[in-house]
Amino acid sequence: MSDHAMTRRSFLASSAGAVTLAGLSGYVGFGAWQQAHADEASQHPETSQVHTLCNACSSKCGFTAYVVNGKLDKCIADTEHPYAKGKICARGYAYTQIAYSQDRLTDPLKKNAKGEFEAISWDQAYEEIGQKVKDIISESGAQSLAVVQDPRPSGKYYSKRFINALGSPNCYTHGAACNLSKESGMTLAIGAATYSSDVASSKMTMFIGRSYADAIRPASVAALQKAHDNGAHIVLVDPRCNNSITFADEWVPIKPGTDQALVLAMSNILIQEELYDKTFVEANGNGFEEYAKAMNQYTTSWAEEITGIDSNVIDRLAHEFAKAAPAASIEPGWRGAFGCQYKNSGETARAIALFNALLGCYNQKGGALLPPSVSAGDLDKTKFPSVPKPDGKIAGASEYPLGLTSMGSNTYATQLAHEGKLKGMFFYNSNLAAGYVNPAYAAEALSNLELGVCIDVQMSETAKLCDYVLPDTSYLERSELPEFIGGKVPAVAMRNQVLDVVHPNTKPVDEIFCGLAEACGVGQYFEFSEEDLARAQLASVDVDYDALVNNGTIYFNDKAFEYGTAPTWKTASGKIDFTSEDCAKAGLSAAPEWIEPLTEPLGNELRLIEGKQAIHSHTMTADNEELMQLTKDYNLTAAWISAEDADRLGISDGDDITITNDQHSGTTRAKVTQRIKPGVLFMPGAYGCTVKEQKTAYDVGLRPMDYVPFHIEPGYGAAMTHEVCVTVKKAGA
Amino acid sequence: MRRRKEQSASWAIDPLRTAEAYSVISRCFGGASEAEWTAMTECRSWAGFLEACRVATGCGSLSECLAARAVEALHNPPSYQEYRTFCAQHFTGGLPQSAMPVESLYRDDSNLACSIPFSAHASGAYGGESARYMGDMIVSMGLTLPDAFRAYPDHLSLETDMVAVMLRSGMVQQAGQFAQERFGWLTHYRLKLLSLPNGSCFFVALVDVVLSAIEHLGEVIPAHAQEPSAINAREEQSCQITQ
Repeated sequence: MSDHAMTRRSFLASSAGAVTLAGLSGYVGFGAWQQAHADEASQHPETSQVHTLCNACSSKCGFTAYVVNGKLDKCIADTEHPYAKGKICARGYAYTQIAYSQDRLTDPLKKNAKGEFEAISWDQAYEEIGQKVKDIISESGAQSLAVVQDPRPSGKYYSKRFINALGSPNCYTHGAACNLSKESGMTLAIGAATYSSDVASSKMTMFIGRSYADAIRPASVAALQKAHDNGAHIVLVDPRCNNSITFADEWVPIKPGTDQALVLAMSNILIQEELYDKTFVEANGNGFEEYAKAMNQYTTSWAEEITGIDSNVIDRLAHEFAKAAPAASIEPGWRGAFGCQYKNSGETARAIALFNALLGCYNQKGGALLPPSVSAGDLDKTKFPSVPKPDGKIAGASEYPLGLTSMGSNTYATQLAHEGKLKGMFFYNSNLAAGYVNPAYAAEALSNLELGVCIDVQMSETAKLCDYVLPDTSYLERSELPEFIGGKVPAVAMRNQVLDVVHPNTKPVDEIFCGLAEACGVGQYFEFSEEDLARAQLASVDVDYDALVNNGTIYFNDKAFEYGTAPTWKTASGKIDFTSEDCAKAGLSAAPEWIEPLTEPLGNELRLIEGKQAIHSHTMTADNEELMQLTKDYNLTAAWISAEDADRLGISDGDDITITNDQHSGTTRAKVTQRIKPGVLFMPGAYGCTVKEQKTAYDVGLRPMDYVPFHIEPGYGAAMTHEVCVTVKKAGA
Repeated sequence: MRRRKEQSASWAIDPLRTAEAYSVISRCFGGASEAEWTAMTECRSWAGFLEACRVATGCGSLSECLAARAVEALHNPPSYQEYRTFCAQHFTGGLPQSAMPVESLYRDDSNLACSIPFSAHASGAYGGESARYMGDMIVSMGLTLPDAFRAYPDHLSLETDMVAVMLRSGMVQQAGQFAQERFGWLTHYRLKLLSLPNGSCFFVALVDVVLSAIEHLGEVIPAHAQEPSAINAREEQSCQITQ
């Protein structure tokens, strides 16, 4: 027998590797254990309840997680949470599986010379990344570094603080591929990035491209249902009859990219026929006369030509709005039709905000509400030192001056990487390379970087293009900073840790950024724990940390909204800006005048649009077996084509069709339907995963962004994700 | 291809030598440090391990139980650099080439109560029934679950180590039962190793030793619930990978 100690070394026991039989408590056999386990679990379950926040989409609904014997057992939506109100969606339940997923990243990874990833230690990852960051700053300046993140409570704080501490102002959200144009356009008009349509109390609400039933926030769906039950007139303006039609009165099919024309024409009717709220406009408006003059050209017949909507319908809708006002509004949208999709998205948003001003519906019951919000106050600078303000503005602020700098244009950042001007990029919870811009362009751009670092829970198209991948814990395994929620009664909720960390070599995002900061020489700005910061932030608004942990959601009742309150317009003029000097300086019109979409289908081409489905949040949830099974059961990867177009092209429902343009070609199934406007092809946005690491999502369906050329919305900086045309034919024909 | 056991085969159990084989296999799958690897694969130590494998499998020689390629792989363990690279590329999660040796990821527990919340699937995820069973076993025996294995108490390193601990503790019967119950998943895992682009023959050979050793345990210890598919399936596979 070998006398080498190594052959007797044990992970479990002492060096002798032996135990006494008496130590065995009755079961070696698996069957005996199962029985004992079942008895023990049913008779003496160790159960805990934790209020936390979902992470399956950006709504972050509150729920209570029930943990039995260390495993997540069930989730019950919190009735107190303003977005959940007692319900979470299918994603909310299914996405919890990410904690145990076989596709979880378990160790820091580094790409080797062959382009393959290998596990490395955290020490090695931090040391090498830190050195590379220092080299880049030394050679090219801190401005050549950037971070891109899809905001989550801790991630948005730590990623910005980290990149700013390095001396770079370049912190980008996903916004340029989501709601940058909408938030920017509305800010220019009313000084707020959004408002809240008081749908449940409205007499009339128009949704343009947004579908509550296809991008579920439970409270919003409930509000829509209530409005419908109350007899409100709910109008869906969309090239596609989306699933909110269940709670709507009419679907107004519109040619993609022409929503602005509809809004301008309706605005013109209100002005020409003096149906607008003159008192409100006079009291709150700036530049109305110039605006009114500009609107004069937008007749209903002109709009019919542009939008494909009968002029009588446009006229009727405008009059119905006037009649319902002020308990009426155009809902602000999110990504929908003008978050980032077209050359005119920002101006569409501006036109919508101004249309609502004509209705005089701001802060009126059933109208467009600008409710108060609460945010953390000043903190103790000795514990939480301020990071020096970086020199200069975020890259893209000059080129796209109308876009909110709080979001920035990640599209432009990608272009800078493509041009070799950005040297290092960090990504948190962001799959830029699959969903933000053309993936082939993104791959070229990220391949140009001297340093790419991705922090995520599983491999993604973006992570694959990076040099280092740092494994985050799942959202169930960490606590995060407080999430302040605006609303009629502002509130605060918080993600609390539900499960012990599953993989010991993963770290929560706050620890990862602290480690990176230390390695990059700016650790002095991160010498506090996430909990310390959360406690301090809550204390600054007189909320007790432990009370929030116990209650899940706490409301600021003293800040409650009241109908009829005069809004504060945080615009350049301090009023509603019907005209914008900034827009004029950026080469647009002072008033939101009509801008044609960039692309127009020619010949047999169809315009390609994409959108969400209720069971997926873009590419984020596609690797979930349960949700993907729903996709397969209901054939949800199919592309929608109108019966008219299908007949013309010889396509039947269920046929495989090949979709082609100069960017990409791929085949999927056709859903032939009357629920889409002729000339338009709809593809769901969640599919077409190209990373084998996501075993469930890989190679299922097509990815719309593959077809979208790389381009940027003038002035605003968004990705113009619907400025794309394709041809369609029956596969094999 | 599995070989037929010859006349020279042993029909008895040598618990300590068998434990030695399981311990080394445990170390190999557990991410040995350079010092450990160097010490373990030093000529005399490794020869001792090979002899322990022969004893554990009850064969007159390893070539009686294992395919020639497996025997060759066992006689030529990888250098530490090769070993480290293999571990770094394959014993980590979330990559196409990941081959985490964790029972929960391979065992089909569809007949068991669902162990993953809101899922109809009971395999292919960490923390399945086997993980909870192993976790409970470890605690009940007064052992300590190493932090590095917290996510997977049903890691092959711990399961083989458990067999070794039992054998050294005189729990031969229990070790046999445990091994026969637990290692059925290795046939699936072996297929995963075989699918890797290169360098997996050594680890396939280690798995083959475990499977042969289980068979031997089954022959010399009164029958317990065996999983015959574990052995039969392996006979249909052989390592076709060039190192």
